[in-house]
Amino acid sequence: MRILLAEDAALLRDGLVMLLERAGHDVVAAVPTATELREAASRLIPDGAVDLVLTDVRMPPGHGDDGLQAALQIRAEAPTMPLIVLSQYVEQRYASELLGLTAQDGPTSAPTGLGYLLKDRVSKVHDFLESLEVVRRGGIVVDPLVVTSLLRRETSTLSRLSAREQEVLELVSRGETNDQISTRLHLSRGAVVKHVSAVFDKLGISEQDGNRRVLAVIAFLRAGPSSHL
Amino acid sequence: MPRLDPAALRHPLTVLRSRAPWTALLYLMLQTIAGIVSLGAWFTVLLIPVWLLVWPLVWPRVEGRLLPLAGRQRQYAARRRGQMRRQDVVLGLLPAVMAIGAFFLGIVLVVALGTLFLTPVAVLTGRDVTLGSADQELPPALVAVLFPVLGLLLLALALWGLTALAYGWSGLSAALLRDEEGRLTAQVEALGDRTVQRDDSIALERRVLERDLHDGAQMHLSAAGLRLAMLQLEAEQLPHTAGRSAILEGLDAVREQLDLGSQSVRDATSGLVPTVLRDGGLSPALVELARAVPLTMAVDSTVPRLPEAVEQGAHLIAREALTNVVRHAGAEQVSIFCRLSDPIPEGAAPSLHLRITDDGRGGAEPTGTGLVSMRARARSLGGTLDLDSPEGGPTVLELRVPVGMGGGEPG
Repeated sequence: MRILLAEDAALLRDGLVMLLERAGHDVVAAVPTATELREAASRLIPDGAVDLVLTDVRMPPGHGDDGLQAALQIRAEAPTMPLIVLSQYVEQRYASELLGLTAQDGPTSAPTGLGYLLKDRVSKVHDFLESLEVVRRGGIVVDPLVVTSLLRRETSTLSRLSAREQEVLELVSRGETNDQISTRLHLSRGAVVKHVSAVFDKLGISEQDGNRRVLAVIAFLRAGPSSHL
Repeated sequence: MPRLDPAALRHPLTVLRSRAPWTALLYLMLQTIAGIVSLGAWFTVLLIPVWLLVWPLVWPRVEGRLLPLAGRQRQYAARRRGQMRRQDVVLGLLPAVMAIGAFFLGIVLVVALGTLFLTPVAVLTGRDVTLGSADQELPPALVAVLFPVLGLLLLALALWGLTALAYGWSGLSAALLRDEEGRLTAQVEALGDRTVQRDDSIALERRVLERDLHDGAQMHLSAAGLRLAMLQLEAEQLPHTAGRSAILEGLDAVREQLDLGSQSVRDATSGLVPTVLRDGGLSPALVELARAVPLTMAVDSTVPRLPEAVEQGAHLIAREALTNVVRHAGAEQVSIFCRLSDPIPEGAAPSLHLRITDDGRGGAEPTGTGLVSMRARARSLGGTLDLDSPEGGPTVLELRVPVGMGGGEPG
């Protein structure tokens, strides 16, 4: 797939380009700043030359969350553009912002094709490459550590889920299918389906809601006092 | 005004060459004038109550500012509004004593100096002046030379003596002005200020440390992970032999170590810097703070990005306040309210208003260490911190900080 890459550290940028090309992908541009990312995106994306955007969070010019803000702008201009944020931080807020959870009324529709991964996940190369595919197909991938850090918080919505259901929800939020979940948790496929629908039930997601798995992840991430915002 | 060294008073020549005698004279004159005013009030019997009501309040403030004239350090009468101590009344009586003393001392000095300087003039102009006893008259030439010399000596002696008198007198004033309670309060405040400075330097070091760990150690770990991923892809291309699986197993082991390394760096840096404050500003940071509190929290905060110092200061105060609530208040519900007030009057700098209310038992001591450092932090921002905590609650803590919007770069 054709990838637009933004990463400020030359060592990592070159390494990622090598890895992605070795895995058979095509890096159409590799830029070191958020400004250049915006510029490259507005030049390449309208031409349909990019299949996926992969960006760091902390980058010049501001060295704050510039990369994330650039990513949000790219999504605002091209809402279906698959996009993965690679971060060094287990920062649930970055993930929430990326998925549009901090907006006043929450996301208007379920987001698709988004990912929030930690940089050191890249060393698990097959998982990383699989995440790229999942996001490109419109899936959502949130790093397990970010998800786990959320699970530690006692929240009203999620405390109604059983331990097993929380485990299943965590795997769902990583973009895993029912089959994958059943292998990982050594459960029958039927048991997984039962747990998943129990999760949907308790989170108040109905049959008509379309991409229910994504909505479950969103409910999961929304839980907690951030709804005061 | 230089401070007078008491040891220097023993060297009249040094003293006389400085400005000290003249400022001391001014000090004594002002004391005398104040004394005359006081005496005037007393002799007009009707004015005595007025004097008692006003003078002990006013004079300590004036006297505290006059002290430098006598070579002592200025003293601020650290009284609360309308507070009057016994010492203040005694202090208020001093100028009258000085005025009476000055009256007699003045007569003696004027007569002595007048005699010494005017007699030679009289003698030289041929007036008939009898000096000494009738049978032992002093020769006029001796009078014309000796008397002015004696006069100058007496003048020098008087100036030196008056400087010493002013210094001693002001010492009495200073002792009466000194306010042990006020001094201790000031000391506590100074300690609080120092705590704030120390915390600030720690915060700065943490920011540097956090950046070094992320840009240094973690970056290299990530880069190593990338090379590892490349190697794994290469190794998987090898023909299936025992060597291949040994390599892949080895790579797995290395990756495990890399993960542990990254995790260590992450654990070390977690909490070093509140990234949400740096990136999102005060409102989301307050929400994040509230999240960590195991009570029912309500956060109502709509403030724009503010200057970094204000955001960090308000955040630290809120954190300290919430820690206190959890530890001491026995509260169930806490609400945090934060707004940027409209500038009143028009054109003035707006101010940040942060209010934290809990429904705990109240009775919070305004002198607790937490509050001292919170107050010091508010002061370092040019703001105020008010605590209202009646027995039985609720406790309300209010921070107001003026915000110069000039530095308010949105981050």
